[in-house]
Amino acid sequence: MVEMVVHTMVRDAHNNMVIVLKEREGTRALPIQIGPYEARAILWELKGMVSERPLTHDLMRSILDELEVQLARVVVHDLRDEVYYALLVLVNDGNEQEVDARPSDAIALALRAGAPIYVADKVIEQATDPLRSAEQVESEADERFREIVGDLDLDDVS
Amino acid sequence: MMVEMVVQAITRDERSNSVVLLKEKEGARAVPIMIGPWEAQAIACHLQGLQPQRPLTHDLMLDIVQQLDFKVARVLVNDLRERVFYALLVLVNNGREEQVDARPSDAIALAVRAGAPIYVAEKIIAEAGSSGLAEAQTDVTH
Repeated sequence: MVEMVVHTMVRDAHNNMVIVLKEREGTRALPIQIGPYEARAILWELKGMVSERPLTHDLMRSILDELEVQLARVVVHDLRDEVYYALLVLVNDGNEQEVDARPSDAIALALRAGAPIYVADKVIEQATDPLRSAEQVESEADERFREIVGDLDLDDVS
Repeated sequence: MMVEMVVQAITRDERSNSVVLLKEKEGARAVPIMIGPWEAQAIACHLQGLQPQRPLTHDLMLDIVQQLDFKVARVLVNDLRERVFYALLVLVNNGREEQVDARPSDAIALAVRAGAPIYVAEKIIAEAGSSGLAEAQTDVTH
């Protein structure tokens, strides 16, 4: 398991949103395609934007808070047929419980809960050439569509 | 007083905004609530019996609640202030009850998945109810 952080979000050549995770201690990167709604949820959190009313992932976080459960970590543990699989690891009364999730939802929640994101080595190896660095992933994305978190306008994510 | 309502339709208003139309379970009054397109899809998908390959966001939300041994007992659309609706999720586990503030769209998306009843405050039906969609109030201001 390798800890990764959200490095950036880019739009690929087919206009899909892609979140790029990067090793916290290392240079390997993992691009994961996500839907526009999840992208918006992640972007708002990264930009520190607060909605007047709780968005869906804010509600999820509130549910955990009200039930006094912590999100210990999120794990992207598998990649099968081009689909990533993730887990939320919840701590409830001292016990760990795992809940199956898509990585986009898991990451959106992890950012709100301040929980670390771990990725299985086999997933990183399967998904990308292990020698590619994060810088390579960004520069290879089509220049016309490349946008980083700082420049991305919310209106673009819909 | 709270009145039980059901999702009668997900539709669009004349400006293409998505609207969820709640109707009294025992009665004819209806309350239209303007919601976002994603939330509309989340509700409609479930009501159409579509099974996604991977859990969608509201499926995950219900999974979390159930894994923690709680049930969604009911959803309350309990306030309408400055054209914005407010809702509560009521989660229960044995004797313990927790209420969580939510937008009606998320609350309804969760209620339909959990098979939980939806209650709307009488004062809201009186204020926002209509026989059509002409004056839908909103779920969220972004």
